[in-house]
This record gives sequence, structure tokens and C-alpha cells, in this order.
Amino acid sequence: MSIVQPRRPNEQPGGGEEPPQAPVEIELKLSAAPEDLARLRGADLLGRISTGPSTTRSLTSFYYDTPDCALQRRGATLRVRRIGQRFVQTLKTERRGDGLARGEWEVALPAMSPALDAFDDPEARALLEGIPAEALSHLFTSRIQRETRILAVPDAVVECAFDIGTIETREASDPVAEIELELKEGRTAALYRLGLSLLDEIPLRVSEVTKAERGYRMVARRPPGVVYDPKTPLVSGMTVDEAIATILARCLRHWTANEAAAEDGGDPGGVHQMRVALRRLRSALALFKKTVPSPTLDWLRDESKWLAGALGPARDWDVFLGATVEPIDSLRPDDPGIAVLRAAAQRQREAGYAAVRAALADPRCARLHLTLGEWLERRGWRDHASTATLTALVEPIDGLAGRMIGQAHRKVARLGRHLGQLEPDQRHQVRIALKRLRYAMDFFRPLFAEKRAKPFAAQLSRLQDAFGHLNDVATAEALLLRLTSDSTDTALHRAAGLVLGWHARGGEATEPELLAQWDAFRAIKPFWTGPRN
Amino acid sequence: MISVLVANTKGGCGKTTIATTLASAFAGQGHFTVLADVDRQHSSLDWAKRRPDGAPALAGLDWAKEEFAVPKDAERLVIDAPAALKMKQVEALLKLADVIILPVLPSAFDEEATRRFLARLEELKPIRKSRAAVAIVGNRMRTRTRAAAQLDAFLGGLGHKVVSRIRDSTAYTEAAADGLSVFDLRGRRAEDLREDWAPLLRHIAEASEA
Repeated sequence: MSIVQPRRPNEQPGGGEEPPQAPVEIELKLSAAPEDLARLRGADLLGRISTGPSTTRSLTSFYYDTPDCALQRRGATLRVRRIGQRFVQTLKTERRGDGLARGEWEVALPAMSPALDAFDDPEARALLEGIPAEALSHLFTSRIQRETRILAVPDAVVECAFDIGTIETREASDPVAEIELELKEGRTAALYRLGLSLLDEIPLRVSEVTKAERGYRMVARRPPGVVYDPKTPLVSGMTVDEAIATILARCLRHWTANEAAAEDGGDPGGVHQMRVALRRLRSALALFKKTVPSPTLDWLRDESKWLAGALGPARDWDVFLGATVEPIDSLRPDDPGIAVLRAAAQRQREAGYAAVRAALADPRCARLHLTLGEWLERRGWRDHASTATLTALVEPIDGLAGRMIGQAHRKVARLGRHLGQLEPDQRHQVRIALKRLRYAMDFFRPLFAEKRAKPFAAQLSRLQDAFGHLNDVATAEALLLRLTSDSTDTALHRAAGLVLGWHARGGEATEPELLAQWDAFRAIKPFWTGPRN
Repeated sequence: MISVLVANTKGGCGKTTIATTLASAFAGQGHFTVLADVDRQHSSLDWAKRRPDGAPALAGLDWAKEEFAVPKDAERLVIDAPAALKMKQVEALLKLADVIILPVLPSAFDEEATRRFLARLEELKPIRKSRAAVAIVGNRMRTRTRAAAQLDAFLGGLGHKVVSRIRDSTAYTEAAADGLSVFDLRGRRAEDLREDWAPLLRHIAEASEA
């Protein structure tokens, strides 16, 4: 739980000096349609919680970097902002950890050109180390009309800014309409709670993309990046309570880091990783359901299922195009049916991505994001906890982690008995159980000796790949049915037949592989029992 | 976080009653409260295990065999220390504590042991900084008895005074049997008994602010 002004070091009460804290900015960003922002400005809610009148200022910011974007690659952004007659140079870092905090240093300057040696803080200086001031050039500009209010809410003071304006490069200009909620004092959960109150007034989206990131993207004409498989930063001896917060924060971060790429659709990895993040989230909530039963937890599971479901078709058509159409096309490059099939699948893919964008713009998505953020910052699972639950929460995670992996492993073994004779839907159950085991293992892996966990993880991956192929085939058949059911195009039907035949042949070839991987998996020793690292 | 260490080298002076009552008082105020039991006999932990679901929840920690690890962002920590403690353990626990509570009984009262314990506490650095941090609690007191007056005189001689006088009442044992304390009970009698604790709770709040 982040607190802006630490009252006292929590970790080691009475234990030595607190390390000097680097300047931190804790901020939640919400975007909305300009007309909705205008409506929100006049809402009673803001009048009730504002501590005074709002002030409006014009802000012009120049963003600087080297031609090869050395600052950006270090995770830093540098801007000089004109506020009336004043100039302020600001250096910011990427997010620190999985919360809303980032490092921020500000210093007054005489003019709009950057002065790197104006920063005194050693951390800021280290970030800029070796970057020659003369190599910096002005990359893009933001021009913002900012209306600022100070809001007082229970347990926090928040600066609320309504930003309307543009981000400009030499060639292009992009509109900005967003709200920034910056924590001045109090607890981070209050930002999310405030976000939820604003969401009751107008449709909003939680925006993960800073103005600087948008500018860089415009300059480089690069699609948003995809963030893969983040390792959960669990540490042996951490309490169950902290482990829940750490895992959920990491799932939320994994989701939000891929949201822009999912929306963009240029890289199939975006939707894929966002779905993985949501499945991991659901899986984490399911794992801890028994430890901390809570109605909010159940609601979060349902809502993340809805969101993952909305991303499903886009992912299915991405896989269909990449894993089915592509290989067949390279086998039969001039087949006219395959070209028709590809075109039809691409239209479906477009529709899938339209559904993704609709879901991400749906206030339901923002509500899920904000509710999860609030719940995990506040450690909402402690609500209505009994003494037995609270006691379980302060135990070290290690024991529970081993039990949870063991449980997931036993379930796989039970469902997969006599795998060779199982029906497709029974195999599907085994595949789901394997996924649960995978996620439990991914979450808790840092607690165990890597030497023992690694071979297990590798074999689990091989088995999952073998199962995944079966699933791709089953999904492809369903998708083909959708493509052909209302079409009289004989070329399309012919291509569909081709794909079915290709898959049937492939399925026959992979069956021995699946059974071999299963036997190898059953033979490998558990890493979660026995000596610890 | 405010942490409270309940300790005395003498056994049977009601450490567990003080620790569990304080923990339930904090939990009832809505604080995330941790009750750490250093005693191998686990009387505090057993009390927490008996605690019904409806009562304000607190977390029980077994510190008898484990390292003294405090959960992050706990708001109140109550440590129930056993009578037999090695000096090294006492030192480690003292480092954690904002307030040290020394329960003493007016009867069967071992002046020499208390004098020695107080002297040892004062040798240790964190205490020297603020003497106010040691709170002496007279447990199972009957007011206006000769024993009570004797206790006051003795502690006055040592430069300490009794912060709270906790009356002797069967309500304590009855509530404890159900994993509760006088802070969880309703009625005039419990309300009356809670008044004994008010000076101590005030003292803890003030000492931790200082």
C-alpha cells in the first residue's frame, strides 16, 4: 500500500534510519470525450469535494531526447514546460513497481531549452549520466489548457486536472482530453475511489499512456509495444496478504501494459498478452478465494471473464490466420480457395478487433480496472475477515504456495488418468487444469529453488504445447463452420475442406507426441516439496 | 504502526489478559491488529483461535519459533512476551516496541524482580530515550487495599507510577474462555470495566506520538 508521506517506516519499526525517498508522483489518468469532460466540470460532485475555485493555465511543453532516443530507452522522459512566464524542467521515470508511482524531479529554468545540470538529486543525475546536452533535440510538443482543482476526499488530498489540447510533431497533431488525478497526500486507494465516482458521472477510460509516450509513438510511427510474461516479484517469507497484493498488482499491470497494443491490433501479441493477463488474474482470484472469501472477489472474477471473453474472437482469428491459413498458404501458394479463405478470415478478424475496441471503451472495463486497483491498494480482502482469515493472511506465503501448486498438480493427474482413452471434452478439462497449474506455478516459482522448478516448468510447457495444438484444431473447425455456413462460394468451401483434412492428418501425427509428453510430465518430480532454496 | 510489548520476568501477572484485551480494543477501533505470541504455551494464540467470526478480527502470529517478522502495514502490534526470555530476545523485542507494558500484581508482588526488570529495561537504549514509554499496569487490583497503596509507594520510589489499575473481575476469565475481551462485551458491567483501560489506551496513543 503506498502512502505519499510515510509516517514511519513500516518494515522495520524502530530499525534504523529510513532511506531518503526520491520524489515520487502518484497519478491516475482517465480519458474521456471532450463533451463529457465539459459536462463533468459542471457536475455537483466536483463542487462538493473541491476545496476552492479552479484555476486554468496554458501549458506548453517541449519534450527532448537524443536522435536515437537514449532517454526513452532508459525509461526516462525530459520536458521543459512554460507556465505563463515561468519555465519548469521535469524529468520522469517509468512506473516504479506495479503501482501508480513514478519518479519525478522538477526544477525552474530561465528559458525553454533544457539544462541537464540543473538537477541536484543524485538519482536524477544518474538517469542523465553520459547524455550530452548538445545531443538533445526537441522531438514533440504538447499544448494543454489545464483546469486544476484541489479535491478533499476521505483519507486523501488530490489534485485534479482537466487537460484539453494537442500533442504535436512536425507532421501530425493528436487531440488530448483527459483527467489527471494526482495524489498530494493520503492513500493511493483514494485515487481509484475518486475515479469510480467520476465514472458514475460520465463514461471514462483508464489511460495508461502518458502524453510523452504518445508523442514518442507519433514521432517513431511505431505501434504500442507488447509486454510479455512478467515474473511475479514474490519473496520467500512474505505474508499471504502481501503475496495476494503483489500477484494481483502484477496481473493488473500486465493487463494495462498491453491494453494499447490490444486496441491497436497491429501486433497480435497485444490481445494475446492482455488475455493471458486476465486469465492469470482470474486464476489468482480463484486460488485465493478460499483464503479470503469476498463478494468483491467473485465480482472481479465475473467481470474479468467478461472482458477476456470480449477479446476472444480477435484472438481466435489471429491464431486461425497465423497457425492455419499461413502454413497452408505456403504449402499451396497459388490455391485460389486459400486466398478467399484468408480474405473471409481477415474480415472476421476486423470484426473481432472492433469488438475489442468496443469493450475497452465500455465503462464496464474502466469500472473493473478501477475497482481492482482500489481493492488491491486498500487490501479490500481484509474487509469482514474473521480472526481466522486475518491470521491466515499474516502467515508466510511459502506453505500455502506449496499446497496450492500441489493441489493443482493432483487435479491434473486425476483428470488426465488414461489420457489416451479420453474424449475430446475430457481432454479439454485436462488442458484447463494444466493452465491452472501453469499459473499457480508462475506466481509462486520465485519462492522455490530454480534448479528444481526449471525442468518441471519446461516439461509442463512441452505438454501444454501438445494440448494447445489439439485446441487450435478444435477452434479452427468451429471457425470454419462460421465462415462457410452462410456462404455459397465453392472456392471457400473447398478451402475449408482442405483445412479440415490438413488438421485431421496433423492430429493423427501429434497424438503419439501428446502421450509421450504426458508420460514425461507424470515422471517428473515435484519441486514444491522438500528443501527450500 | 504502534507496537506494544507486554512483558515481565515474573509469570502469572496477567500478561495474556492484558495483551488479548489490548488487541481486541485496537481491532474494535478498526485497526489492522496483529497479536504476536512469543510464549511457547500459546495462550494468546489459543485465545485468538477461539475468537468468534463476528468479533472484530485480529491476526495471530506465532513468534515462539519464528523470527520476529512484522507484517507490512499492520497498524497495531501487541506482543505477548513469556516470563522466561533470554536477554537477547528481550532486546530484539524492545527494538520493535513503541510502548512497554509491565503488568504487576499487588499481591504476591515480587518487588525485587520488578526492580531488576526495570533496571534492565533502562540499560537498553530505546528505553533511555523516553522513560514515559514504560507503562506499569496494576492488574487484578482491589482499590483501597493496603497492597495497592504499597504498590504505589514502591513504584513511586523507583520513579514510575501505575498508568492503569485493572480491577479484578471474573468477567475477564469468562470473556477469555470465548476468545473475547471486555471490549467485545455489551452491558453496563463491561462498560464499567473498560473504563479501567482508558488511561492505558491514552498513554499508548500519546507515547507513540512522542
